Amino acid sequence: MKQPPRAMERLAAFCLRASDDDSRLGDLSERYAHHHRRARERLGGSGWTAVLQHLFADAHYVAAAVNVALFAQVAGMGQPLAALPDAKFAGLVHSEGTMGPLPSVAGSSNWLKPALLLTAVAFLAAGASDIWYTWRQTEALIVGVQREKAEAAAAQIDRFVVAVRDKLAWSMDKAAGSPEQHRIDSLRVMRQVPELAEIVHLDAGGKELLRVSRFARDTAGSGADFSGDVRYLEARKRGTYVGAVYFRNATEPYVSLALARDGGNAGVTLAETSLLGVNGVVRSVKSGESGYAFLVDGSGRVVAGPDTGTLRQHFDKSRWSERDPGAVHTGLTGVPVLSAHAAVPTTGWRVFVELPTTEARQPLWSALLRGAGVLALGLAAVLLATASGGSARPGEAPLGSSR
Amino acid sequence: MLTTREQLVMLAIARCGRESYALAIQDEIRSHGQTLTLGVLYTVLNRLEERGLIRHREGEPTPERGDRPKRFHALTGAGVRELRSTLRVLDGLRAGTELPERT
Repeated sequence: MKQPPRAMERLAAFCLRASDDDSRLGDLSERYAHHHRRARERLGGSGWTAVLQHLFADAHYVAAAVNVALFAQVAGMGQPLAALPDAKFAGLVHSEGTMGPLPSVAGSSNWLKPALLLTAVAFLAAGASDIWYTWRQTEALIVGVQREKAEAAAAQIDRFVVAVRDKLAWSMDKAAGSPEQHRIDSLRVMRQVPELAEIVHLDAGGKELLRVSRFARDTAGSGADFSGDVRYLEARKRGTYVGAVYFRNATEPYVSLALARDGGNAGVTLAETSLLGVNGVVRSVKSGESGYAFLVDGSGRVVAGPDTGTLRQHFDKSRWSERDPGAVHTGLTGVPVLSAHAAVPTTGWRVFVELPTTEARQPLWSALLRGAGVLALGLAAVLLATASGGSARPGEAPLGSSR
Repeated sequence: MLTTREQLVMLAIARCGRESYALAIQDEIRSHGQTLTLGVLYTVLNRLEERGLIRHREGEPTPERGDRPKRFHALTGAGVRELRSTLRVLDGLRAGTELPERT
């Protein structure tokens, strides 16, 4: 059920000197709902037509409220008609036949014009202030929601990486058995974690002990030398290593994980892990109608995004810290966006959620346009009422009037 | 004697029966080819009530009206007599009067 804006109702109540439960305000509200419904039937129900619907209903409301207020002003709804000057009453009766301004208004109330203009200016100032604060609060709210979505996606990606790492660690614990048992355990892990595409076990000197792969034949004891490989070196130094994301078949993202083993079975285990699942997590993030999410790896490269065209784009890492809540930035697709991001703790990747400002600000523009329209109508009505001059002519009262 | 608009409003109240609140009265008059703005209508209703020709009762608040009540109007005995008197004068004048087809 559509209701007129509260500010407009308050203004109408003020002009009518009516309490909030006055039946005239109820009539105006009912008419507002009627006009809104009629506009929706004629114009349809979305986008800018919604603004026109509101404007149509607002315009009728303002016109009706001004009409009622002007007649109430002249007739003095709360006082006996007998107390009214003849000229004023005659003016009222004369004006009943038209929707035109009442001659007696301008002539009888010198204070009315400045009072109405003062009210209009106050309304304008209050409206502008309200719009500004609403604008800022709405953008902060949108960015807050985007950050929550980014944090949720980042947490999901983090859980995925941790789960893969734990499974890999479990397979390494089993590496003390026979080479065949070692291979079977590795195959079992790959079955449990479909994202694992290849597992390579190295000895303490970086020589390959076993390779179990979905891309190539399994090999045991090849002795291939990985002692100079960054994965081996970083895992030996830090215990765990997460490499840069790379692509197979142009669009399938993969990442290299490496874990160091200690004790009698010391060495390093390498794993190539598919990130298609991570891609799915990123793509499932919804932000409005045209918003999107994307994942940037530690080198600042887009590794998962709304479409394949955005992959591998380089994202300026220096801008990460500049992304203040509510600030507008140039987005991944080159249009101004509201943006928020969250880090994936175990990998240093970041999930960004962006919403084009055209969509984020559309309701605000609608409200602004609507407010401006109503204000223009109100001012026009005030000026129309106050600009007219002349005095009423008692002789125009209808014959037969009992007054 | 009632003015034309007072007659219109009182007849509309009589036609609307128990549902004769301002918007219903306005719609009733509009459906018969005349238009009264709400400002005029409230003024006429106020005038008629002050003269004791109609009375009102408050209805129940409804959500469509922002939880505000409707104000239902009804003719008083004096109102019915005044309306009948006015219409009788009009009917008397009209009876047997032949208006030219074209002037």
